[in-house]
Amino acid sequence: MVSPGSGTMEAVSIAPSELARPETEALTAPDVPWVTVVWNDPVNLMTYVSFVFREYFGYDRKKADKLMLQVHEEGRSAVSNGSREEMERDVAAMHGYGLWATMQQDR
Amino acid sequence: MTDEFAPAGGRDGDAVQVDLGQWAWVINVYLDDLDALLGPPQEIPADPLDALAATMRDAPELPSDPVRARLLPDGVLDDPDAAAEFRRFAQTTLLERKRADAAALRLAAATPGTVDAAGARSLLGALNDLRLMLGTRLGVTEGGVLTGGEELQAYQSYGLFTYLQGLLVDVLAGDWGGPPESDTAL
Repeated sequence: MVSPGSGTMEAVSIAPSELARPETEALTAPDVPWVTVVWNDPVNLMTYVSFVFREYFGYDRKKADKLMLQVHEEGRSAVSNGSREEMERDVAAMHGYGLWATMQQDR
Repeated sequence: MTDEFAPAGGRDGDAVQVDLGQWAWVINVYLDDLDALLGPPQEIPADPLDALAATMRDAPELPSDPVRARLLPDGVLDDPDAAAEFRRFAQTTLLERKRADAAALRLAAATPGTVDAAGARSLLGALNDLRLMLGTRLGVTEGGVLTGGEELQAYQSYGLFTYLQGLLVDVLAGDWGGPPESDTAL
């Protein structure tokens, strides 16, 4: 992510293959909740990401900033959870804002 | 000189004053590129069965063009069937939104004025798409990008769009710092 006027920052790998992956199983358990994961991207502005979390999810500034920093520093953050259909909506919304998000079952 | 974006005041709390005149040329250059990437609106057959057949016909995949892939990313990892299903569900709407946002930015760049809350979000989306396009092309990393030569204009434009998007986010988030100080001495 970019902060306006940022100087040097450590290069952060955005390759998802380097991050921990959820195990894939043959059957998806209906009771296991789904989550929306937002992935770091060197283009996205930190202020913009935080704004999106406040605007779309209704989070307060503190929570939005915390999630945004988690994306920035850890490469990803689970920003919402719920049913599969709800997560499809959230992921689509994140893509609409230009953030990269994926959905997965929470384990 | 006024800011390119500023709160418009009035009853619509999120209305934004827009004056992009001095940047209209470069914005249009890259909007042309973005429009080409997004492609023309899909024609949806009038017959609902034909329309359904059209969506089912090809397994939608992550685009091979890296910029288009970043604009239309996968919604599910590690599961190509689920990813294709998600793409079928989401891609058309996403493309329509991006086209509309790009059109809104083109219009705003042509004519200084005020946009409402929804309009402001369109401009925000379009600026973000321009940055995704240029950032992907330039190979932007967390450490920034150093380039020159023939890519210099793209790099400088990326910087301009970063500034514009940052300013608009500040205006919408209520973090706008106020009008720039006047250069004229009294």
